[in-house]
Amino acid sequence: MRNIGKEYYGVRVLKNVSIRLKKGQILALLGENGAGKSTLMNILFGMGVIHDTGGFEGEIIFEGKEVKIAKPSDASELGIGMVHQEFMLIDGYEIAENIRLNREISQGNILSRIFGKKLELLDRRAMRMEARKTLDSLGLEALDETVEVENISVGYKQFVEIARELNKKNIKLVVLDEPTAVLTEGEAKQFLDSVRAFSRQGISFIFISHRLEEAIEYADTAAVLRNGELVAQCSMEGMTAEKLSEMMIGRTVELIKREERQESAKTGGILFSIRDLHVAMPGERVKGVDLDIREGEILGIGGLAGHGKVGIANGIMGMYPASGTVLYRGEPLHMEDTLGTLKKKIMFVSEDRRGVGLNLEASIELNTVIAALRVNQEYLRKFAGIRFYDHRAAAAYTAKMIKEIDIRCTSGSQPCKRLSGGNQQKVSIAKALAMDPEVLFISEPTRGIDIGAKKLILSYLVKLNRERHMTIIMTSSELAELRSVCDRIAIVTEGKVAGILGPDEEEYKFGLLMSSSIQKKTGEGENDEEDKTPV
Amino acid sequence: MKGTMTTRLKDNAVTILFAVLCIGSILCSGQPMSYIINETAARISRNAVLILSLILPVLCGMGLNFSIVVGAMAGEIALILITHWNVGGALGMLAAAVICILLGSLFGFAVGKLMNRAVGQEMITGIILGYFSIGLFDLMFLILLGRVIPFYDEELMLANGIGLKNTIAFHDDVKNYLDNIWRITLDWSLVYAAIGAVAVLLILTVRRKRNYGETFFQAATRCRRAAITAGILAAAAIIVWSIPALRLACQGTQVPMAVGIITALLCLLTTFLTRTKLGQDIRTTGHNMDVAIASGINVGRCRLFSIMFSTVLAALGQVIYLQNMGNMNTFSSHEQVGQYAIAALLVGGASIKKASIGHVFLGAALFHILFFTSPLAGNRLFGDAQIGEYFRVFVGYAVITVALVLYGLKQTAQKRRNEETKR
Repeated sequence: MRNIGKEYYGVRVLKNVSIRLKKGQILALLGENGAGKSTLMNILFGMGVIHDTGGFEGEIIFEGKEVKIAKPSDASELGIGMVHQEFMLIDGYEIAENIRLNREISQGNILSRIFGKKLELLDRRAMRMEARKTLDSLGLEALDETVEVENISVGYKQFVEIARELNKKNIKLVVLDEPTAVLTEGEAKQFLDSVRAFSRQGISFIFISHRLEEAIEYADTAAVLRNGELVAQCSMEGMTAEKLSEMMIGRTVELIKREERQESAKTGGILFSIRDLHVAMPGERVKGVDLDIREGEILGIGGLAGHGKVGIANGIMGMYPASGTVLYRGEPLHMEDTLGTLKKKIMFVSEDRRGVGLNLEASIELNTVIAALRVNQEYLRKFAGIRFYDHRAAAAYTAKMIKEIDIRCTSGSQPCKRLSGGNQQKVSIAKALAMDPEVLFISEPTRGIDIGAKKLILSYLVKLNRERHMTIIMTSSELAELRSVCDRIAIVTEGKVAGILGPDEEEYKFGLLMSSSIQKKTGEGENDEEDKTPV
Repeated sequence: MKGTMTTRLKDNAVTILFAVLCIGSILCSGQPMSYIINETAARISRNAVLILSLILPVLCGMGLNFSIVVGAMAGEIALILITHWNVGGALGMLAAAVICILLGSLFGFAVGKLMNRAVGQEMITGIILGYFSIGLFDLMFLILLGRVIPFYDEELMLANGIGLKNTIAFHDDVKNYLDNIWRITLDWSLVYAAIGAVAVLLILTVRRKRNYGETFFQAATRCRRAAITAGILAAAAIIVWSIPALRLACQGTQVPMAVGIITALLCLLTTFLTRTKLGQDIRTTGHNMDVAIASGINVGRCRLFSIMFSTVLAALGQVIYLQNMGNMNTFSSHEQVGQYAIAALLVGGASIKKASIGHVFLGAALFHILFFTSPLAGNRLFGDAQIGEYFRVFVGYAVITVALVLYGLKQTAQKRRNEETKR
């Protein structure tokens, strides 16, 4: 691909990018979220979004010839396949049907001879045999090709996706968009090993990943994008994760930077007193949490996925049925009354920002002020006794927030679905801040967003705590992140608080608290597996 | 096992409810068995093709095709034309079929193009399109005909030479023509149907055996649908022949075999289509349009084809329906076509996302049994046929509403379940 450029709605997302890939090699395409990786790959694959928004600049040279790729089927004909980040599988079809999707094997009959190939009958048996061969070559002898896709695990779905591409006879280049994000470590290794085996047979791969170690181990070369520009394309030989991340961010990063500790947090009065909290959140059940939260502190809630750490904030905010007592400033808090809780200036930034946190169709501006508008009746203007939406005030506040936390967008009126994950998270935070909260529950604030945005969000949280004396309860799966900003960290295991540690305690202590249940379990033989599905 | 039983019962709640209502209504109506069987057979044969026309759009993810009203109009135009030209008999029917196919394709093409611009809103578009086309039909044949369009026919038109009469009676060689070609009693026709189904099963089996080298028994069990159909028909034939009272009732029922054969052929055609490459594309489109597009399927063309096929079948279905009635209410006989056909399909156990030929026949039987027995039952129980009349109107719409609501609930439940497994 040479000199590729692309504008979306007046925002330039790709500038003059050229990458080269040899036959049988694996290229790792790296970059922060929003750096233009997906856009680049969409151009290569001829996805509809590219042409609906005005096409692109530059040229694509494939096997020595300049090619025009206007739609996905053009790319398929050339032998370019793509494994999408979201699964492109039909749930109701069996695996074999998915693998041969739109390349079904069919047999002629009388009608098809008159009316054309479209009326040929499907040959399911041949399709299953073909699928079987490909699955075997991926080392998936145990997977039955006649099972419907909705009944298999996420990891297997990823394998079916790539099996579909590799099953194509003329396949020469496969694009993998974050293939290992949903896989467990073992699955990821098996997956990448088979990718490597296929690359030895002369198939090239472009592989987008956030796991740098993986990229270094498996890729031959790396292309790093930053802000729509190519930083470098270089060989992976002798490369380290630090060097790569430096190229991605464009500045030296300290992945874990300790914030200065504050002494006041230790002396603050008790703000929240939680006793015997149970929350019926599916997959994250809370089974009797006792916890005190001090005024002005940043409390971290950590623990393994599925043990209930996410459920605490969701329960207190009334998102899921909860029982137990919660005292806020000495008064009981009615958890089911979300509006009342919000009125007490307690805000919640959900871990599910696309589902609960934001209205993706609506503009940044509306998303930012909606909570304040609903709960506090702000951003309203009275006219003849009827309240109208005050667009001007809302726009002014949104513009301020866009500047303050660096939301990258065309304007406040851009719909949220067009933003990258990190910027959506920033809008969620802006929405909570519009309420001017005293307490902020924030769950998984950095999940699925890039290092740059992560750092900004974390330091902004600290700033809010120090300058506005906001009490922050942050739930996160990343212990390093909790240790970098929190004053105290509560570890939740099996729906209960296993212990509270200071951020400077040694790492193995956290590990012990998280795994205490596992040790106990082997002792008691208690079976609690169904709650432990990995996220 | 218990879990699957309850979900099965839940999934077929509408059908089971209707079966119970039907039995109750039959008992209350106090009619003899021969009358019930006679009416049911007549109504199934007259409505089956109209209901059948709904299947392909459902598979293509376009929901229930309310716009078959447009197809019905094409059928009516065909009948008006052959009455005007005074061609009847086999030639007339053939001419009507050709006109149906041409006009149906044309109308279907227009509807399909429109629906491709209203992705996700097909059903409401179809309903409103139906009303709109009724207006257009009235304008055409009530005001423009004879005034702008040069057309004259004393028999068909109003006395002032403008517009069609309200009721058009067909000539004798059109009226019931298809019904009368070959009529046999139900007990024999069941035997023939069973033999036909077994023959289809044999052909499929032999084909499989030749292609895959399976043993005869293996191949026969592989063709599951055909085997089940043949089994059910054979069992029905045996039951009828072994119970004298039932056989006596069936002997009083004449079955129009020509219509039966046409219906059977169209069913086979629909099944055949779903098994082809085209059918697979259509089903893929129905399951997930984004995936279909990304894998290079021409989604627009699949949707267009489904609607065109549906419209043509509806046109043919309306011809079969009207030749059986013998005359037509020029401006109102197409009004309810969509609603009744859809209600019947839903009663049979279909939903917005799934429909099969089994649903067509089961639904046609249950819906129409209730349809003609409920006024009788109302008359007998309350001395007022009107009560039953209200009841059936209520039932027709209620069934559609219930099916839509159930589908919505099921989708929400599914979503929640997905969320649970994801965590």
